Amino acid sequence: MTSPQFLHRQYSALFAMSILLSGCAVTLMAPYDTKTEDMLTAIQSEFSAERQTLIYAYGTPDCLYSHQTAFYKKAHADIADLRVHASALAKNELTIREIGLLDQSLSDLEAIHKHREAIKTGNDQCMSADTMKDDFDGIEGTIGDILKLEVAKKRVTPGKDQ
Amino acid sequence: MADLDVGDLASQVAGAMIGQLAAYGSDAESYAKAEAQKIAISIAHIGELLASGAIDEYEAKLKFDIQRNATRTMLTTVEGIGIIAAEQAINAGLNAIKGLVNGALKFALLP
Repeated sequence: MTSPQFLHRQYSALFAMSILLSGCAVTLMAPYDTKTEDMLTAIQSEFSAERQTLIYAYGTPDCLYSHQTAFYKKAHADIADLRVHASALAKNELTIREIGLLDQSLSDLEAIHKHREAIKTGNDQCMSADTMKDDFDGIEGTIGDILKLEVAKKRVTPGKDQ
Repeated sequence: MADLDVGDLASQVAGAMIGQLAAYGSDAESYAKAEAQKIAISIAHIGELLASGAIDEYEAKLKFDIQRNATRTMLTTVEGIGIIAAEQAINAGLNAIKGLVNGALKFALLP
């Protein structure tokens, strides 16, 4: 009678041998890309700068969406550039998906900003540090996670010095 | 293949693979837990802002969408780390038996 352990052992052996026949290292994900990391870091800097701009501009006309459209325009364009660059690399679908989510979050932030200017009055038209904290933290987290995946592509063995 | 024992090779490949997967699995789990905590705090804060009237339902939905996108990105990164772990495990398995196989065959089948 054939035991499950025996079958498992045979399948493992077959699996190993099939890989052996390929005769080369297996690659399932795009390699680490310095430019992607640089572009992401630059986009993160834009968000950090905009957050500080809005904090300092609170209660002034500069806090309004209509005064900040240049930020949204540039951020959308930079994310589009990043998406095009990432799309040029093979086996990079996960990173491309993440960039799409980042752009969606930027659109959400823009919609919130626009909405406040349209329906609120006075200082409430601004996004205060407290009300926009979750949005910027969420977007920062999104960028941070895209970066973590990019850095993981360096294929450094866990537990060893990086 | 007279000098190569399939069972022994499979055992060495499996040992190397499991070592890689265990190391990455532990990293991915702690990473996911930390991110989940951050997102839970953000969602609770959105609830407070809505309750206090600082934001309306339209904004709350958009804010939640940003958090959901952050969660999706985190899970995608964990998925990607898992794929890289699988890749590393396969290659570690091959590397573990490289010397044995190439020596036995007197030919560099595994580069």
